[in-house]
Amino acid sequence: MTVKQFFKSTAFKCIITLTCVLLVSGIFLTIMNGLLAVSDAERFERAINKIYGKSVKTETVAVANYNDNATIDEAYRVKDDGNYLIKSTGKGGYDNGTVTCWIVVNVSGGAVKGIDKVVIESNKGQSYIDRVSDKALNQFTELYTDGIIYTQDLITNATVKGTKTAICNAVNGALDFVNALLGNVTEDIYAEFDFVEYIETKLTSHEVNEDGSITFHIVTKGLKEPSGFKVDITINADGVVTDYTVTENGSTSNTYVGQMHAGILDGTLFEGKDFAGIEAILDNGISLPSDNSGTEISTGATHSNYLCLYAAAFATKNYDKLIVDDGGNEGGGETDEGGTENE
Amino acid sequence: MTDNSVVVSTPPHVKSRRTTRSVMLDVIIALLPCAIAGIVFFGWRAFVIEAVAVLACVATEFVYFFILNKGFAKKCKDAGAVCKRWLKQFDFTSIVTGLILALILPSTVAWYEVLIGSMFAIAIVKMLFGGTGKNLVNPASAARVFMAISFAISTYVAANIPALRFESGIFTDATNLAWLFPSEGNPTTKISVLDLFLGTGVAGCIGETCKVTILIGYIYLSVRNVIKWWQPLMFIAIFGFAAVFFSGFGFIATGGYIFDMELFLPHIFSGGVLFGAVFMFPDYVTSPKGVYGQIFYYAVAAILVAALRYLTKLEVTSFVIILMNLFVPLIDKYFIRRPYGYVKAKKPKAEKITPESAAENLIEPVDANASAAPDKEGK
Amino acid sequence: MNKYKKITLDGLIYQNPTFMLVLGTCPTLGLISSAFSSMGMGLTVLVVLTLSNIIISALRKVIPSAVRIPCYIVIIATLVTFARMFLEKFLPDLYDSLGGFLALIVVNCIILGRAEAFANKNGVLESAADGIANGLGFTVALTIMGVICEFLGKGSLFGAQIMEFKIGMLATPAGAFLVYGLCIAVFVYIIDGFERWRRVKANKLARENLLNAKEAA
Repeated sequence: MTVKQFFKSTAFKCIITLTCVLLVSGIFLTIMNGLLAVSDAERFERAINKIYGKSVKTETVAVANYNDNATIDEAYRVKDDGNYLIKSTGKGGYDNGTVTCWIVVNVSGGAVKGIDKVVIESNKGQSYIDRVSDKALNQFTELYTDGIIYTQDLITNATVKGTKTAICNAVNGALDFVNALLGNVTEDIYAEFDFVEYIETKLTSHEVNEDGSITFHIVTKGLKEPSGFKVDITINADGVVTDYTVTENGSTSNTYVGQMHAGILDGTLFEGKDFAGIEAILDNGISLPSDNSGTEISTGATHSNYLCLYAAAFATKNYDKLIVDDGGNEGGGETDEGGTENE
Repeated sequence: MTDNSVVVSTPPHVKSRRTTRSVMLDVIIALLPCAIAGIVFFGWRAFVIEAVAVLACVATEFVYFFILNKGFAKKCKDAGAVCKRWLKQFDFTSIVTGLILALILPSTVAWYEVLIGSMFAIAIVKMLFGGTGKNLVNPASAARVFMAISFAISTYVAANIPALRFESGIFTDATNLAWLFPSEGNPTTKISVLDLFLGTGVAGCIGETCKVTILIGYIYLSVRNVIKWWQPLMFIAIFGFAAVFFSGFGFIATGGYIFDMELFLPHIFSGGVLFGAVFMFPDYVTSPKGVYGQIFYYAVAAILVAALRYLTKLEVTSFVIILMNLFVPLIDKYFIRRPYGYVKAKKPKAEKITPESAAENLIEPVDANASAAPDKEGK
Repeated sequence: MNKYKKITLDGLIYQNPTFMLVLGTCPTLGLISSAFSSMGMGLTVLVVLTLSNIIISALRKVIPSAVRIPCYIVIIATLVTFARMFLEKFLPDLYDSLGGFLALIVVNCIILGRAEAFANKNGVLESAADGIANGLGFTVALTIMGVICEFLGKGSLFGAQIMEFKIGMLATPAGAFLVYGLCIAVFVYIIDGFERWRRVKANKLARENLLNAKEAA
């Protein structure tokens, strides 16, 4: 094949056509890319806009963690109105998964005024996240009152409990973070106490009665299946439990309540015991004296039993600290105040 | 004039008094104890669900038949004739489908959800594929899967095996079956096997709760020769062992694998396995025809149910029924049935090469040994 | 003018890419759980299809038939990439909801099919008409199914919540498959009925004409 023949052949024509088409396409796309490219900044602004509902200017805030149940991933302060936009990942979801949410925290006058919006960004292992409706998420805004800590019981309509917990944790984490940023950390008077592993210290309060006894209004944390219990325990001056009432049973169903230790439910197991007595039960852990109902504490309601047990241990172990405090600080006025504030 | 004494039909030319109608009547009778037990355990709700499901199934079939046979044509002139024809061909299959569907639903399900499920089962799963005997998958289990995907998950996953997993809070009215899958955080209380067997104090689907009634149905069906007695037994036995095998992995976290045979009975008595094994797996239309094919079908299904239950912690029996039903044509293709009257030709024994025969063939003995050696190794 | 009428009717009804030819099922099943995204998909395909038809038909004399498929693919890919850029810049909501299916338009058999079957044999104007007709057929089909699936599966229409009751499965691709099949059945039934009616009418007319002719004779 001579050179002349080659230039006249179909092969040459094909090559030329393909090259031309490619060149034209490439040039066209290059120009268009230059014209239409979306910059990272624009993309970010768009993402923020989508969450916020209107275009706003933001500044980045350094991230820090104030809550064990949530990780703050990103935080922005909205320049226009001073609100905060937090990306927070809540732990403790279904199957140990997490849920990442964008949360708009309404701030005015240097204090948190509410939650404007919660948007679910992503999740890990929460197969039923679609069942969390907007209605359920709106409850975060509706239910906000000062100092509230969201628990999964507050949020109805989201069927999957674990996912709900993770979302609540994310929102609580964001609230804690913003509060800390603004310097409004409510001092946690019980933080240094013993046996607080299962106690929701920020929700718990106490009052000192006239006869020197102390009544605790304890709110426990939820533990996997059972959600938090509310227990009122009165400790007299000798550190002995005189009154014990479960005001709110966190157990999920009657089946579980029925399997809880009867003495824990009505308090007969604790009443008349001081810390040493309760510690003995705790140390024995699994095998409680089965004199009461024959049910051992190792039943399916173990978690519920443990929550109540810890509440009792918390009350009996720590009551003397409060008494000392009260002596030093004019008769418990401050703790009372603290208590109401926390409620 | 045609000669009416000659009947032309496709093979097999077997005449018996057994008709689809009588078989289905047997199945209905076998299902009745379960249905009654359901009403006893769950009250009027169960009755409403059963009634709605059965009525909706029959009505859907009727409407479909009516439309297909042009009952509406010519201003409903032929409506009466079409109705008569429908009555003549009506073979109770839709009643069975409706009843089974009602029995594998939890009692908390809403009546309109049952209505939609029944319509789906008959219209889409059965009639669209050609009606009785032509459906690809079991209509009742397909409808249950459809409903489980479509409607609020909590009412569906829950009831069959409540709280297979302790951690997930999606289950309502939970009982403690989580100990079937031991792992950290799961409760260790055991429900007595007797409770599971009788269905007392255990949440479950309407017809699956009381295992005694299922056994009664099984015995009746076996005696009437509607199902082969060994099929459910084989399925359940393999499932039990596989389930015990899988739940053994849960012990690893707390020290070592345990093959705990104590879990055997609770495993087979929980959820819909027993019900599925007796009433849904042996469905003629959707199970393989040959014996070897059936053995393969039940074995794979049993292992699948056990494995998927362990992995997903959900009730999966109806999912597995659909899945295996879809494999039936394939199984029928590769497990070839022996044609009727066919005697297997004996395979001519492979001639062994012995030194003698080798000698006869005038081959040197050394060669014969060499060729015999790999033969021995092969055995 | 009759030619364009035929092209339009073919694209919209008699050779509707979704209902009659069952082309482009991948985006159909993936997207009809939401009316908004299925309509957006349809319109995007409409634009890309029309442009590609125009370009290919204009170049049909230049491109040697030995390398026509690579050329078509390059042209279509260029157009799709352009469409992606355009959507990302100006319609980010739609861009997000279409996701990966947007890039898959490149291998959508409708577009390559029309290029191969129509555009490389016909003039630019006809090809443009064909592209618009087919694209409209695709859009309408997708939107109808999107409305059905979204209404039954999510209880909403174009994102606006209408009712609480929903059959969740119809919002999944599996349910979309069911709806797709049923829609094809209904569509074919209607078309068949229409054709039969037309044939009966034509026969009647022909018979009358014949009779008239006989009488005249």
